[in-house]
This record gives sequence, structure tokens and C-alpha cells, in this order.
Amino acid sequence: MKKAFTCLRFLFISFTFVRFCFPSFVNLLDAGRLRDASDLIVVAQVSNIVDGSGTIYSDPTTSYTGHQQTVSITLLRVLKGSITAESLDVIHFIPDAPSGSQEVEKGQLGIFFLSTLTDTAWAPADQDHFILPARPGAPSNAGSSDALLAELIQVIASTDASSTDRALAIASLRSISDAGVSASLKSVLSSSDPLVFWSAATALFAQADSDALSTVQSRLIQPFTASDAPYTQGLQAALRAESTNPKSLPTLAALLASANQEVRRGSAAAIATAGGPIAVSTLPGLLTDQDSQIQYFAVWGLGRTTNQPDQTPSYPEFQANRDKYILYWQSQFPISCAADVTSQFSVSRSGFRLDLSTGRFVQSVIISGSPASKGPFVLALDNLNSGLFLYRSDGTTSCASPSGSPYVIVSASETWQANGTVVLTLEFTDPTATGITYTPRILGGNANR
Amino acid sequence: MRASISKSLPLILFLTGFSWAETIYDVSLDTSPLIGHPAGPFALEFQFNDGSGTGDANNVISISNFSLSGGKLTGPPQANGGASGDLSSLVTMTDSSFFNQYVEAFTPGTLMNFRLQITANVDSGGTPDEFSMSILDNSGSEIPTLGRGASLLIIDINSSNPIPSAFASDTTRSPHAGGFPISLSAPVVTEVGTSVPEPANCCLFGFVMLMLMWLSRNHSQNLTRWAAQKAASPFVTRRSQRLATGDTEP
Repeated sequence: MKKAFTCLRFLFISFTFVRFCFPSFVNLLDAGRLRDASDLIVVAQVSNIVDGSGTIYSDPTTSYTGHQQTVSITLLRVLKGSITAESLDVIHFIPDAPSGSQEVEKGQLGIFFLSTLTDTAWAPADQDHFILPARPGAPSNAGSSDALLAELIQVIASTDASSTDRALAIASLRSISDAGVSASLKSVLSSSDPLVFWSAATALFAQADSDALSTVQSRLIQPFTASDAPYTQGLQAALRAESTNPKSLPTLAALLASANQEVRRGSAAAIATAGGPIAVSTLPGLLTDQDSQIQYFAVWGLGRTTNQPDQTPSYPEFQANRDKYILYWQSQFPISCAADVTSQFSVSRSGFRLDLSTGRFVQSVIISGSPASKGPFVLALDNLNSGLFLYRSDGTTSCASPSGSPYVIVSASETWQANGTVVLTLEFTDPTATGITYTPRILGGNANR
Repeated sequence: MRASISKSLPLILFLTGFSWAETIYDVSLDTSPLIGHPAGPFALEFQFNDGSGTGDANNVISISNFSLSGGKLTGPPQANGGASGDLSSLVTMTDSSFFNQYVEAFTPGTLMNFRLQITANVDSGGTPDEFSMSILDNSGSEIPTLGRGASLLIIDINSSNPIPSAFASDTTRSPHAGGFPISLSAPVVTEVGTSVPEPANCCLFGFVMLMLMWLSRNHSQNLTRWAAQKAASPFVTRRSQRLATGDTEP
């Protein structure tokens, strides 16, 4: 009993030190780390939960309140360690203050990651993540020789599992390099569930998977939908990890034309980090980008690539002397503008209709041809009446004169499908219905627009 | 001289009727899926928007022979821009503004029918005048369709014989006003003929056009000489006569 109390006290002090002295610190979800930290890993179901009582820790200045929970679980499968009992108790601490500590519910099924607490009791191996989702039956098709990975792969593949459970399983495998895991993640890139799709995509990007990057290239270039938006926060960092794979670099260069800022920033950062010829060919075009972070990646990447430390500022230095750095690199790499290739295409426009549900005028534009020039291709709207706006434009011309023309991406690829036709739907805001006129211009190539 | 011809051209065209052949369509729409739907009452909406962006009034659309087969118009009609009239008799829409719209509420019957007459003067500049039709729910939003801007029918005047595009409703989306998705078939549009300009107008128009061509070819010749030679012509203007005689009085 005394030994148990000592252990509990030690665990609690350790836990509260981390939890309350560094309240923002939460362990990353990583199945590999959890496996290493655990003495016992089991697939089990929560059979009972008993809440303990009272204040359980105080130091000379502050008292932290919380309660102890005894979670009884019924074992279904043992994935690591050895145990003969059919059930066991897990002593779990729940602080009153919000902390990110994982809580459980009666009847919950999951993979439990446990460490030895006493001869008869177990504690979570990680207070933040001690349960990962599982399915009731053992994996029929293992997918991996590792028992833990096979369980998680089964969850990812299960369309009966909730989106949250599948995403949690995916997130736990982000740092695991395993053929079975990779195949499992790629298999859900066709999922219509945005949470599952983006979880898998970012996990694969973080593993520098060039195949995954090219598979979802068009989805990354097109404007994200409202249902995508909540799940794309980590894209920038994930894309940056692709810099380590040379096969990913052409796709990253194409993604610089994305309509989504996170994608453009991530791609610019990855190319700047990768350096080499692709950095020299693409980064100068970003020096006049409208986004200051992308400008910075261009400056930083060119400085690193050409080994000029005095022209490779930190971000605060860049912000303080933006013009100096940009002018320097523009003088080193004179920028060429995207070419006007309108004559290589046929552009046919419909009339306008006011969509009453959106309040925007809608027009179809059909672009066809067999251009000799290389893409990507964008449609710029020159001389658009003042006071009108092209809804969801992909950018505004600043290099290819006339400047200030909004443009939309026609084709993000360098190659135009032979005799291909692209149909765009343009939307305009014209609050006073004064009339919409513009001159279409098609720009080709990766140079500045 | 060229400038004065250019300025007077719209007037001349107007006086000669400026009625290139009209194309006539009969439009029929099965409206029975609307009967009793909670997104009602519904309204029929037409737009006829100018492609030039200036309201050049170079095309006219008329809607007539409107019927609802057991339904009825509940009005009142709302006309914006160059729209006028009433579906119970005749609605006329001219692209005299950029945005021209006609809306009228109705109680659906089994079938909606009407006749559409449309002139086909193609706008220069690359964007055609566009006629479109939709049905609005009780929130004022269009019933979702597979057409651009939730339209059931679109006619772009991009040739002398415009081709209608008809769209069914989108059965995967509920109306903005609520209720289950509506399954409307695409309207059936039948071209029933064309009307041609009156013979008298044809002759007058042809004569004026010949005159314009002749004037254009000879505009560099001495105006005084021309005016003097043609003094007896009823088409010589008083200003030309003054120029010929050296009378500079305004």
C-alpha cells in the first residue's frame, strides 16, 4: 500500500509538473513513441469507471485540484507485453483545469497504452494519449506484420468507424515509416470524408511521399471548399517536409500557382529549403508575391542556395529591410513575366446571369486550343470595370502588363491536353448592376504574372 | 461625314424597323413536382442581360401565350430595367439596361407553357446578350438546377439562330427555403419558326444600306461638288445645300 502511494505520488507530481508548469505542452500523438513508452498494450473495452475524490496535490504557492479515476477494462487482445488476467484497472488522473488529458467513457473500445503502476494496477503510459481507436474484431488482413500497426490500419480502412476515429488512427501513424501504413493512407486519398482525406494527405506529405503529393495536386491547387477549410491548418508544415524528396519538387513548383495561401506558403518553404536548380528557377518569381511570408521564403531560399549569408535574413530582419533584400535578389535574378499566349487559344464567353442566391453574376468561359507554349495557363481579365470584383480569383497580375488584372487558373499543368477544352465559371460581384466588361488574356508559363 | 453617318445609323436602323428575323420557341415545363411543395409559393423569373455591358437595347424578347394548366398567376409582376408587361398578356424585355428582370408569382399546375420570340442581333465584344429563366422559392432563391446560376433555360444570342440550353433541377440539393429536393425535368424547348422583317421595311432598309455603302465609298470626294450635283435629290439635306451654295449661316 505504501509502495502504491509512493508511486502514485511520484506519478502525480511528475504529471502536474508537466501539466501545470507547462500548460501548453501536450505530447504529440505518435503510435511509435507510445509503443516504446508502454509496458503493456492491449485492445480492451472499458467496463467500469470509478471516480476518486478531492484535492490531490498542492505546492507551497498553489493548490491543484482534480480527481483520480479507476478505469476497469476487459481485455480482448494483447499487442505488447504479457498478462494472464482477463481484466485490469487503470489509475487515471483527471485535473479540474482543462489540460488536454484524455478521458474515457464506459463501453469505449480502444487500444490502451499502459505502464506498470503497482503489482495490480496500471497507469496510462502517456496522460495525453493513452487510448487509440480499435475495431472489435482482430484484423483479418493484417496490412502490417506489426500487431499495433495492423490494428490501426484496420481502423483506417473501416468505413464503419467514425471519421474522428479514422483520423486519430491516421494521425498516430504520421511518423511511422512502413509500407503497410503508406498503402493504407494512400487508399483513403479517394475518401469523400474531408477529415479522413486531409488527415491522410498531411500524414503522407509529412513522410515526403511524392506519389501522394502528385495524386492530390489538383485538389491542392483549386480553392478549398468550406468543408476543407477546417482541416488544412497543418498543410504548410506538412508540405515543407516534402522538400527532402527530390521527386516532389516539380509538383511543389506547380503548387506555387495554388489558389490556397497555405499551399503556396508550404510549397515556397519546401522549395526554399530544398535549394538547387528548382529554387533558382522558381523563387525569383516569388519576390513580388503579394504575401510577405512567400516573399521571405524566396529571399531566404535564394540566399541559402547561393550561399550568401549576408543576404539570408531572419524573418524580423527581412520585415525591417524588405525592399533592400528584394531589390538585391531582383538584381541578381532579373524576373521574366509570363507570356501573353491568348492567340494560341479560342476563348468563347456566355452571357451573364445574376444568381439570386449568391448575389453574383455568373458567366461561363470556354477555352480551347492546342497551344505550343507551356503552362500553367491562367485567364486574366483586363480592363474589368472599376468597382467590380472577380469572385475567388487566383491572383492579380503585377508583372505581365497590364497589371492589376484579376486572373483565374485555367490549367495548372505545364502540358495542355491535346485539343483540350476547359470550361470555367466566373462569378462577379456587381452590386449596382452597372454592367460587366473585360478583355480576356491568357498567360502561359511559370514566370511572374 | 463619316461621323454623321455613324451617329445617325442607330436612328436609321430604328426607323427601318431594325427587326432582323425573330426566332420563335415554344417552351413547356412539367411543374407538377412543385404542387404542394413546402418551398412554395413559387415565382417565375426571367432575366435578359446585356452582353455589351452598356444597355445597347439591340435585342427584344417577348413572352406570350402563357398558361399554367390548372395553376394560376398570383402576381403582382415585378419588372426591372427594360422589362415590362404582364404574363397574362405579353411581357417584353429589352436589353436597355445591363440587368433586366421580370418576376411573377404563380401557383403551379401540371404544365407551364409559353411562347418566346427573340431577336438575334449579336453584340460585338465577345459577350452575348443572355436570356435565362428560373423558378424562385419563397425565400427568393432559385430552385437548385444543373444550369449555370441555377437556371432552367439559357439562350445566348451569339448567332442569328440562338440555341437554347435547358437544364433539369438538381435533385441532390434542397431548395433554400427548405423541404425535400425538387425533381423538375428540363423544359422542353421547340423552335416553331422565324418571323422575317416586313417587306416594306426590307426595301427601305436595303435602300438605306445601299446609300450608306455608296456614301462611305465616296466620302473623300468633294462634298460641295456632290451636293451641287445632287441638289435635286430629295435626300440632300439642307446643310448640304447650304454648303453647296456657300451659305454658312447656321
